[in-house]
Amino acid sequence: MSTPKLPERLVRALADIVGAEALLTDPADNWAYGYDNSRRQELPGAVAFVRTAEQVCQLVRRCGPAGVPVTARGLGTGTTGATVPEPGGLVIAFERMNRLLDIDAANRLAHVEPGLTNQQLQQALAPQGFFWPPDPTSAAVCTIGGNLAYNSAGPRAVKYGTPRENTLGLTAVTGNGELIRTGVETTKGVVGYDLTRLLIGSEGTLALIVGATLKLSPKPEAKRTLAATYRDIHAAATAVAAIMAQPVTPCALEFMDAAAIEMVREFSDLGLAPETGALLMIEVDGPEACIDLSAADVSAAARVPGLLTCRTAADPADIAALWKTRKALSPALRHVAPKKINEDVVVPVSRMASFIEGLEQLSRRTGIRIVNFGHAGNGNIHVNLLVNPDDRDEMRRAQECLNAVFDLVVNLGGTLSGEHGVGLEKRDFVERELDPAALRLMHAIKGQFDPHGILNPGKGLPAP
Amino acid sequence: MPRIPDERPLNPQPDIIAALSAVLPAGTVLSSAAELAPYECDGLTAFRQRPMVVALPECIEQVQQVLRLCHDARVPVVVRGAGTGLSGGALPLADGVLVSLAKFNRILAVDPDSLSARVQPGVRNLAISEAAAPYGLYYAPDPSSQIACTIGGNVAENSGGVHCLKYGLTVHNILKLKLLTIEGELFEVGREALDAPGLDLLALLTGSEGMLAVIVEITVKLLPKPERAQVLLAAFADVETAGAAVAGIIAAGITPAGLEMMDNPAIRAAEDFVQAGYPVEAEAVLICELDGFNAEVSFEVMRVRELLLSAGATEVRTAADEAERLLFWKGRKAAFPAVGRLSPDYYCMDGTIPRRELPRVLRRIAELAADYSLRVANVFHAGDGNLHPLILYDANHPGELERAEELGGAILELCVAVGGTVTGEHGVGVEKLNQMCVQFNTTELEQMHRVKAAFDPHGLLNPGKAVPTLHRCAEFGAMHVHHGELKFPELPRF
Repeated sequence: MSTPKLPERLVRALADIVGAEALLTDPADNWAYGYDNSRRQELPGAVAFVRTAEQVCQLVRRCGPAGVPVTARGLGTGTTGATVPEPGGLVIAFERMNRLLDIDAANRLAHVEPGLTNQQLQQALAPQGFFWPPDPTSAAVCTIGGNLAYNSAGPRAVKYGTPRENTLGLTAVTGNGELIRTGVETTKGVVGYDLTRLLIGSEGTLALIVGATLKLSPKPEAKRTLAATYRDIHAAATAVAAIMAQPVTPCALEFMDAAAIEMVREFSDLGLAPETGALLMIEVDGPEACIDLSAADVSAAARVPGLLTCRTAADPADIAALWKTRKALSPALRHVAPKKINEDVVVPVSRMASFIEGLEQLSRRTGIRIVNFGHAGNGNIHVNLLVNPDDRDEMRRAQECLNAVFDLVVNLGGTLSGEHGVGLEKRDFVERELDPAALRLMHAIKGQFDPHGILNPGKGLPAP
Repeated sequence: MPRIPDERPLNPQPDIIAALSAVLPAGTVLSSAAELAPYECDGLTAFRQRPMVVALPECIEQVQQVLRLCHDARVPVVVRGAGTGLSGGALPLADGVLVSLAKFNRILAVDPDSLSARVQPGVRNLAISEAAAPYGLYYAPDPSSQIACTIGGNVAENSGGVHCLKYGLTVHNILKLKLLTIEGELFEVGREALDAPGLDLLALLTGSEGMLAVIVEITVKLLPKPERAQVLLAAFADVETAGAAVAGIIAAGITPAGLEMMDNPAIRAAEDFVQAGYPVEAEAVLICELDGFNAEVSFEVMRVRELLLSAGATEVRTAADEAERLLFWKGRKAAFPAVGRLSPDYYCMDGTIPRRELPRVLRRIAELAADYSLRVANVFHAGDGNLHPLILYDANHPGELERAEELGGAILELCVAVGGTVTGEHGVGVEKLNQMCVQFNTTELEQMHRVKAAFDPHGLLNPGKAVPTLHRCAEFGAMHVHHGELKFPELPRF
């Protein structure tokens, strides 16, 4: 495999912009910036560590006319390959542009640079009584810039929304190397087109985010955790609908299906009754004075026919005990099928049971074991196909199965990507979900932000 | 300020009238002067323009035909709902077709299981909540005009309302749109499920003031009705203390369903008009609504009461019953017509500022009003810093309208200077084009024009609205802002 090399002159120009110590060009160094958590990897031609928006503008202005592809990178925790560079392209690494500029409590906002990690932000906000709601599982190591690029959510999205609902404005550099500001500093504002939301989730294909004004939420005083088990997924889905139809919105509503419970059971005795067909983990938050009443309301809604057990926990030890089953799942999965295919899809909450049933049928038909869990409150389901990549026949059946999974999702009015983005992994499935006119408009918009076509080419959208 | 902001050379093509009549049912193409008169303005009555022709299509296919004809003949198109917009977004063009979606007024489905409703764009905002009520559900955004305004207009303007502090703007409460491109091609954006792949066209189209595509169907999100709502009314001896109390409530981590403020002129006008029992001696009142489930509301009422008193409220009343709650709101909701009784004309502004700036901006507005020798009443959504200064004037006094407009412009520029924005919920339309030149620089405005070009390369959909041309900004004299010489360089300018 031969990787195109960047011209010497361009490399010197890039070094002049960021400083020689902030530019990697040796392939041995570059390799470390060529992959993400999708298990894909390409070798970039150079890696530039930026510290200012101005540097980003200058880098992009250099790369545009030269036709050198530019890929933004936070800390590479994405799972769909959106930060995997084009071979020989430039990686703009934001890990050193990571300052928390200010926290403004009266206006409930914070200004941040993109390389700040989600956890660093949360730690700075906590003493002031605030938090930023998006909480991907990788919060400890993922960056805000990456969260915005993918519109990454997490369990709390059911109550607090995704990054789109929690971001007031952005500064970003377009494919022309121009700095633009989008959005407002206020919670309201309808000036011009909503470019903030357009850029969020655009996976670095329209502009590079160099700053963000984040909307903060007050940290709830108290939290209660409930675990409910059901005879089957239908009962659990009915409970989810009942919970969502009453006024106390939980801040997490997670589920595991029978296959997931079975899998955990193979590894540890969790004391779950053998007839358990589905598990819901529910959290509510709010003021200390009324948290128990909220928990009682949610618990009442969870009590639908088919309920086996329902327990509420308040103290940390009890809470940890309730989460034991859910937390045991990921290690169990890694053990059984370290190279499993994990798909992140969404179906309308009211159709979750039909979806799980469809998956059970598919599993029987293709002989692929499928384990499902996820954020039930908004129908975001992580579908895991347990496969061994070395078994060619199994991989063939898995592809067939995956194909059918995506069809099932679209037919149920769902969407192919809940929070992991599209990147390279799902790019070729997007057409099933989007109208041709919508897809054409997306390409036209891309052309207007990135006339040279250098910003993360090939990601997010299938080729026109 | 020019009456008609559209800068294109006029290019009337009256042949389109016959072409439209050929494809639309009899009686749905209006072109006589008398028939056109009702369409000459929307809620921003200072701007008036009769369209060349009005079309009233009844189904998607007919709208497609209208758009195809207009696209082929390069005739501009303006789409209109109920015409309650306050920024002139539906102002017709002299050489354009006005498409009224008044006949798209059916609620197609209410789905209590997935908490959503599918409706046509001409459905009234309140009609959705009425249709959802039997299921214990409602549609949250509630612009003051909700009995009359249409959901299509709400989406086009990304309208808010009293309760958007807690429940968000229109963009936070819709799931899916069905639209037509200017070429007449039907497409859908958004999903019933969380977050669709690709670019967020749903958000881009929401608030785009009819400049990118024509909305023909909307799927809205429904919410369970809160178990209880309770209102507090607090009086203050000065406006700045009230402003500080707002910041105090928000910073304490409470998100009221509504947090409204009225100043003394507005309090007196409302009290004279509907006798809501407001303290007329107060310089400002705050109306704070808390909703949710019973226990939560009881607790928050106590917290907010303490916060208001410690912030310096001279009096805090809690509505004793539902009748009193509605009475507290009645004064607020009647404030605009009440102020209308004080003066023959008023001009309603819509700037939004960071909450911490409330005291300073209110003081400065009073100073500006004195400079221009005009009275200003303030009634507004304090919780999210969305100001609605009402500038009182009399158009029959020569020069007053012009002074009112100048004062309005100065107030909006003040909003931007403190880090705010020129419109919180009414949209830019034709009214705030000049102020857009202040808020955004050339690069940013150009990027918005490029987005429009991606949808509408010939500039046929509602041209001249929402995003000013660079030429206009140059004429307005704001260009000097764009060369790194910001007027207030110390302020963060998002």
